[in-house]
Amino acid sequence: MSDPTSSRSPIPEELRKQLADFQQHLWRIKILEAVLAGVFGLIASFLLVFLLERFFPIPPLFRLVILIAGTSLASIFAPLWVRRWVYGHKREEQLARLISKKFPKLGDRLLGIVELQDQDESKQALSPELREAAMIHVANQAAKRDMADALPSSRHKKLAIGVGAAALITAFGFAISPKAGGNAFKRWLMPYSETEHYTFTQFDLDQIPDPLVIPWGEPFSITLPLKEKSDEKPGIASARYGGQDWLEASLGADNAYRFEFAGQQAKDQLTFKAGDATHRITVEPEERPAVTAFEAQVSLPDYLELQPRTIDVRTGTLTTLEGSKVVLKGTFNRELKSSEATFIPQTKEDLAEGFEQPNDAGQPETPEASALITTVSNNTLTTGLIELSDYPAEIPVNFTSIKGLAGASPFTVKVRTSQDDAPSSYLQGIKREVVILAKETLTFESVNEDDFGLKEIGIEWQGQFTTPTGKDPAKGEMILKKGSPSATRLTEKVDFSPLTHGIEPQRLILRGYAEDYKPGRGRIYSEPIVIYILTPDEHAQILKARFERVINELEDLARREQNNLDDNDRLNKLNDGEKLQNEDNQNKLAQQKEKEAENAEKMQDIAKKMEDIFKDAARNGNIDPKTMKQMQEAMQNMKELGEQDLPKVEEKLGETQNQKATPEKTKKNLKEAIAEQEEALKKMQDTIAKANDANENFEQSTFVNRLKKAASDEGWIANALINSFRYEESNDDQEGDKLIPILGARPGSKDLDSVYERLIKDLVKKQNETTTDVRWIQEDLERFHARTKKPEHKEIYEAMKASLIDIELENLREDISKNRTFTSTRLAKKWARLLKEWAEKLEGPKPEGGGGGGGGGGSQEEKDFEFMLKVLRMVQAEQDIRGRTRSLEQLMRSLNLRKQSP
Amino acid sequence: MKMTKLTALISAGLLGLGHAEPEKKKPTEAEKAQALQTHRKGSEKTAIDQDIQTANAQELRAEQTNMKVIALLMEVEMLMAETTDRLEDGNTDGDTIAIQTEIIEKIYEAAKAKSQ
Repeated sequence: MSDPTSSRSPIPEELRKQLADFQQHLWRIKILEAVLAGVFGLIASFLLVFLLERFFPIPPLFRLVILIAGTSLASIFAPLWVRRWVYGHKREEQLARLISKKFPKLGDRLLGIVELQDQDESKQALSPELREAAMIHVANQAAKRDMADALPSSRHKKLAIGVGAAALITAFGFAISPKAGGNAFKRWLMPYSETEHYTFTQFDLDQIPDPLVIPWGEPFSITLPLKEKSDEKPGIASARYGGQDWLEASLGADNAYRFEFAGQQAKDQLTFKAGDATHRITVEPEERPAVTAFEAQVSLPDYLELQPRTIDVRTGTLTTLEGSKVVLKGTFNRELKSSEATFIPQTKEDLAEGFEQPNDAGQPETPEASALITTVSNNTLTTGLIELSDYPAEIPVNFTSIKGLAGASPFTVKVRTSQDDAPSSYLQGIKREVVILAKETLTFESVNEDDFGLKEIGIEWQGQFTTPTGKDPAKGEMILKKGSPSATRLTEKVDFSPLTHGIEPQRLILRGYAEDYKPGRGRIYSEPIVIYILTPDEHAQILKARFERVINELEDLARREQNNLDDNDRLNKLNDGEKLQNEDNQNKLAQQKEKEAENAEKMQDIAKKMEDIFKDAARNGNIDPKTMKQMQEAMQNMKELGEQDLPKVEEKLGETQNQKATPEKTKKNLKEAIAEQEEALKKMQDTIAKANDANENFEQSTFVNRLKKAASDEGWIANALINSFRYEESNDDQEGDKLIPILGARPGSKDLDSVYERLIKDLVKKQNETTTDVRWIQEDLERFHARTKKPEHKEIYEAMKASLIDIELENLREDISKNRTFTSTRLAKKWARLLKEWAEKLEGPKPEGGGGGGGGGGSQEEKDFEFMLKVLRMVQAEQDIRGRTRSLEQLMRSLNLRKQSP
Repeated sequence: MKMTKLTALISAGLLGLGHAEPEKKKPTEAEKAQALQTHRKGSEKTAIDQDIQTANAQELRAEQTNMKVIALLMEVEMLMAETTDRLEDGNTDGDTIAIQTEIIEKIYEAAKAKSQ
C-alpha cells in the first residue's frame, strides 16, 4: 500500500511478469551453459589424457595441469558464468540493460520505468498518474515484443553437442579398452598417484631389476618378460643402451624378449620398447667382486700341542697335516651379499695307480661332497670348521656382491693333506766306524729335525762281545735334550765315554734317536755308529795294521819317486842346455814338475796318517818307548819330505822352465833338481827302514802282549778252578774253608751243582778262546821270524812248537769239560808260567829304574823324546779324563738332575 | 797275518736304516737313582785317574831342570789336585771341566817351554 504521502508507482504486473519470464529464461540458458561448459571441460581434459597416454605416459605434472585446466571450466568458469548472468541480472534494471542491448529503445524505456518505480517523490514533484501512464505505455510496448529475442547469444546447444560428442568418444574408448579408460581415468583424476601408465603391451617389471648392475666391460644379456595378462604381445621389441643403436628381439616361447648387449663401461639408461610400452631402467657397469685376500686358519691335531696358525692361500693351494681343522676366510674388494662353498673330496691318487683293490664290498669310497656353512660380513666371508681327513679335496667358493654380481669364477682352494713325517736324526762329526780304547771319549754332534716339534732326543747303544765272555753286553740310553711342540730342530753335543757307562771292550752299536709328538710312533733312529771298544792289545793290533799300510804307501811312493828321478836323469844325460829348452823337453819337464808335486802332496798325506798313528800309539800306553821313538823319527822325516824336500825338488824343476834362463842355467837347474831328488829319495828309503824297524818292534811288542794275555788267561782259569774247590764259610763255628765235593762229580749228573755246571761251561769256553789265540800267536810268530830272521823269534817259536802247546791246550780244554779239576788246574798253571816266560824272553831285559823309558844314561835327544812322549800321554790322559767328566755331567743333565745347558 | 775277528768285523761293517721302535717309557725315579749312583761311581773312578795323573805330573816335574817348566808343572799339579777334590765330591760341572782344560793348556805350555 503506497504511502499516502509518497507517490511511488510499481511496474505493471504484465511487464513484471514478462521481465520475470525473461529473467528465468536467461538464467536457465546460462546455468545450462555453465554446467555444460564444466562438464565439457572435464570430459575434454580426461579425453586428452586418455588419448595422449595411448602414445606416451604423461608426466604427473602435465596430467595435473590438464586436470586443473579441465576442472577449471567447472570450478572457475561456471561459477563466474552463473554469477555474471544470475547474480548480475537479478534486478529489473539489470534486465532492462540486457534488453537494451538487443532492443535499445525498449530497453531504455524499461530502464526509465524501473527508475520511475523506484522514485519516491511527492505529488508536487512528479504526477503519479503520469508515472503510471508511462509505465503502462512501456508495458504495452514491451508486450508486443518477444523478450526471448533479447536474450544474449547462447552456446548451450553447441556445448551440449560438444559434451555429447566427448561423452560418446569417451564411452567408445571405454568400450574398446575399459582398462585403458580406467587407467586413464585414475591417472587423470589422481595425477600423482602410483597408478602405472597402462599400455596394451605390458612388461613384467617385477622381473626387471632397476637399477641393473652389470659386469664392467663384459657382454651381458637381459630378458624382458611380458605379463601374462598383457593385452598385446608384439612379436618384436627393441631396446637400446643410452644413445647406441637399437637392438631388436623376437618374442620367445617364454613370453619374453632376450637382448644381448656388448660390454659397457659407462652408466646409462637402457630403454625398451614393445608395442605402446616403453620402459627405462638404469644400468650400472661395475667390476665383479674379486678376492683381495684369502687365508686359512689351521688348527693342527691336538697331539702336536701347537697354536692354530694362519696360512695365506691366495695361491689357491693349502697343504696341511691330516687331521687338521680349517676355517677359510676371504676378503673381497666389494661388500658381499651371499656366498656358498662346497667341500669336494677328491679321489686318492694311489687308488688310481694299480694299488691292490679290495673287493667291491670293501672298496673304499671317496666321501661325498658337502655344502659348507659360510657367513658373510661386509666384504669378508668365513666358512665353518672343516675337518680334514686323508683325502685331498677342493673347496670352490662362490660369492656375490651386494649389487648382485657374482665373481668371475669361483675361488677354489685345493687342499692337500700330508702325513706327520717322522723326525730325522743324524750323528755328525764322527765316522761310521770308530776304533777306540775304553778310556777314550768320543765327541760328536746329534742333529735332529722334525716337521713340527721334537719331543726328545737322545742316544742308545747296544753292545756285542766279539768273543764269548759270559757277561751281558752293554745296553743303555741317554736322553740328550727335551724338546717342545715348536722345536723343529734340536742339536746337542755328545761326549760319550764307555768308562762312564761301565762299558767294557766290545763292539758297540750307537744310534741317535729322535721322538716327535705323534702318538704311537716311537723313536726314529739315526744311521748307527759302530764303535769298537778295544783292549790295549786289540788296539795295538789295529795300530799295527794301520802302520803297515802307511809303510806300504811310503814304499809305493818311493818307487814313484825313483821313477821320477830316472826320468829326470835321462833328460839330463840326453840333452844339453839348448835342447832342454825346446818345446818337447819343456813339456816333459813340466810333467816331471807336476809328478813331483803329486808326490809331495802324497807324502804330506802319509805324514798326517803317521802322525795320527803315533798319537794313538801314545794313547795306547802299552807300546814301548823305543818303538815310539822310531815311529816319531819316521813321522818327522815324512813331514820334512812332504813339506820341504820334495817341494824343493818341484821348485827346482820349475826353474828349468824359465824361458828367460840361458841354456847353461837350465842345465844347471836340472842337475840341482836331480841332486835334491837323490837326497830326498835317500831320506825316503831311510824313513822306510826306520818305519820297518819300528813296525818290527811294534809287532814284537804285540807278541809280548799277546803272550802275556794268554798267560793271564790261563792263570785266570787256574784260579777259577782253585776257587771252585773251596766251601763257603760254614755257618757253624768251625774255622777254615772246606772242600766242596766237586771233585770227581761228572758234568751233567746230579752230583754236580748247577752253579758249577755253569762254571765248567764258562771255563771250557774261555780255554777254547785262549787255545785259539795261542795257535794264532804261534802261526804269526812263524811268519814274523820268516821276515825278521831274528834268533830270539826263532827260539820262542821253536819252543812253542816243541811244547806242542796247541795240542796240549786242546787237551786241557777236554780235561776241564770232564771236570778233571786237579789235572786241569795243574796244566793251566803250567801253561800260564810258560807263556809268561816266553813273553819275558821276547820282551828282553827291562832297563833298571822301571819301565816307560828314561834311563839315566840316555842321550839328551832321547831324554827330550821321552819328555815329549810323557807330555803327549799326559795330555791324552787328561783329555780322556775331561771327556769322561763331560760324559758324567751329560748323564746328570739328561735326567734333569742338573740344570740343562742353554 | 792273522786277520783278527776284530778287524774282520771292522771291515765288514754294518749299515742300518732309521726305523721306529715302540715308545720307551720315561725315566722313573728308580732310573734317576741308578743314574745318580752311576754318576757317583764314575766320578770317584775319574777322581782316582786324575790323582794318578797328578802323580805322573809330579814325577815329570822331578826330572826337570828348567825353572819355567818346573813352575808350569807345579801349577799343573795344583790344578789336578783341585780337580781330584771336585771329582771326589761328585762335582762334574762346567767349572771342573774348565779346570781340566786349563790343565791341558798348561801341559802344552810346559812342553813349549821345554822345547825353547
